[in-house]
Amino acid sequence: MIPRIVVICLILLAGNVLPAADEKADGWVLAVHGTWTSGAKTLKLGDPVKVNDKVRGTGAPGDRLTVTLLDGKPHEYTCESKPDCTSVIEPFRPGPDALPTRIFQALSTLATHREVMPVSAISRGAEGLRQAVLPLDGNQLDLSPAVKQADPGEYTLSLRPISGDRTAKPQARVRGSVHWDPPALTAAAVPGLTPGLYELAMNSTEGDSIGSVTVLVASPADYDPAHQTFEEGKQVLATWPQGVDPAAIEAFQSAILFHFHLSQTSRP
Amino acid sequence: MSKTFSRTKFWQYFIPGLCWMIFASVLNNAIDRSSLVKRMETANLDALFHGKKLEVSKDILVVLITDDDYNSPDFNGASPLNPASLIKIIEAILRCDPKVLGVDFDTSAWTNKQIDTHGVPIVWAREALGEPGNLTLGKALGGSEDICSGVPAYFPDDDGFVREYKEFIEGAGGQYYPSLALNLAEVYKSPKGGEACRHQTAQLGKNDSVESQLINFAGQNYAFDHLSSGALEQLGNSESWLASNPLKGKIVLLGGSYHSARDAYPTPFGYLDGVDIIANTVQSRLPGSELNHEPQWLTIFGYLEGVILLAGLYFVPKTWSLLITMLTGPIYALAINWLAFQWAGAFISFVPCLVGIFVYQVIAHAKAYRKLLRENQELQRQVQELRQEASK
Repeated sequence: MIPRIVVICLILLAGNVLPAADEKADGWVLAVHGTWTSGAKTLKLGDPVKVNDKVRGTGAPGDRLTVTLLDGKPHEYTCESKPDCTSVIEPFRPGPDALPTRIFQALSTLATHREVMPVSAISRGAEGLRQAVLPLDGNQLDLSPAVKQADPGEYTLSLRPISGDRTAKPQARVRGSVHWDPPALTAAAVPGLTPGLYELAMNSTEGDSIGSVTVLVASPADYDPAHQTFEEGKQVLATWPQGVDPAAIEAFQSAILFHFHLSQTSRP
Repeated sequence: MSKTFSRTKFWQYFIPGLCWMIFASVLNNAIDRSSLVKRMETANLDALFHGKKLEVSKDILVVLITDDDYNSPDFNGASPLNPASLIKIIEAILRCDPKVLGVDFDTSAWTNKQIDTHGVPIVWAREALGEPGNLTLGKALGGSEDICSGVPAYFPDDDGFVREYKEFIEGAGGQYYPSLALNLAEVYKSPKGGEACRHQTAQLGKNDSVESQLINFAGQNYAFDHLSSGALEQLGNSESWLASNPLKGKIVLLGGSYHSARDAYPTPFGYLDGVDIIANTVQSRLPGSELNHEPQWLTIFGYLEGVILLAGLYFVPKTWSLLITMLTGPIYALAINWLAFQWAGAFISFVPCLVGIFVYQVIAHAKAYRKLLRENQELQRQVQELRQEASK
């Protein structure tokens, strides 16, 4: 019979040697395309995963597993170039450094030149506007769909008509002003403005440009169909991969507005 | 021979040494806020931060509105952010049962104030407007008065880096405004929960401060768990998520990391998003994570060890004492500085004390050298005289 003391010692030893089970999850399943498993478990939305877990797909075309880890980023796992369609959830944060490494890091911080940090001197106005359908009511033009970012204050507007017909006689710019203070005050007074496709430019009273962008000015009767067409067109963008050049997205959105405008003007 | 070389008495050695130590420390205190001392101090502090062991906060989680979230149909790439979409995220967070939620967004223009808080206290960010010394407070949640709010204001150092915060910010008309970090920590720590929230006041309490305090940066943004608002919404009400959600019982901070927010500032760990700086500040106020600048006990210890070192050097042969001070002094100062920071959360510089001893040693050696020179000259003169007398 094994003495009791030996049993106790073995239990204590096992407690020290075996790592304590850390129940804390490192991420959660966001989306499952196909069938993915972790161990014997079939993964589904919201299931917790841990760093170093092995996840395995069935290998069917298009199999994809998206996981959000605690670095706040989505991580995608596919079967591409993996014969057994198995991936490991990679660590997302560095492990703790040993004391000598930390001492070295501290000393090297003292000894080295501090890295120069860049400062972006770009004006906020550079991305202040976006393509939109703007409702026109009398001479009041609601700018809220087009203004992405602008501090409250006085602004001047310039709307240059875009006819779509090179042979047409160029029309004069229409000018207006707005006291911008969203969400209460977003309508600009633009005397003489009629529905159509325009290049909208917006400047602060100090002359700083908020930006310029293509907009479709629509009468109250045309606003809803125009807005709906534009929003439906933008849904296509949701299927585009991430990281597409913003200029391409802007061009696509301008094309939707242009297409709607042409369909309206060519209507008998 | 009229004069002989003899060892100085202990008190004749010790008292001037002590005076030099005190002089160096007083001089250091006098120029403490000068840019020269401040720069040396911040370089020291930054080095200590980089030597810190990475420990992931168990108390704080950050929910971010990322660039992908900002450009999603919910926000449509527009600033200010759509309040309805933001409220949806806030409610998704509150369903996860955090202990307190901090909202680092400008909600001054909000009109819909109906939020089902699920009994979770919320601390709203409130912008400080105007010039230093004449600050007023912007609105939070569309101007609601019966809410808990705090100012997420920081005062960068001369080099533009954010290293300090204030518990209370002094505003116009003798008013003091609590910081966002203070209120989040107070609500989290107190069993009274939301009732522990501090409000604008004309009279500060005994333990309240308007002085700058060091942020104990926990490290790069790895030091805090992050989730994107999009992921949070996607996980929604899934049972397995709610059962294992990491927000439960924690301080959750909601802020923006999207590029258009322009809410990132230089810190000893490079650019950090505003919400991550607040997370570091709140962590600095939690038990076990504080960073004390020159605590009294350590200052006394510093002077004591200086006195002992000075006394000890008396018994070391003069040939070695200067070398020991020169070589071991800086290593010793750095070692104590490191140990105090890493294990006691205290930041203190022992350099003035050791500089005092070093200067004193140099002066003492210079005096002894001059004395020897004079004695040598006197000896040579006497030898010369003796030779002349002998030749006669």
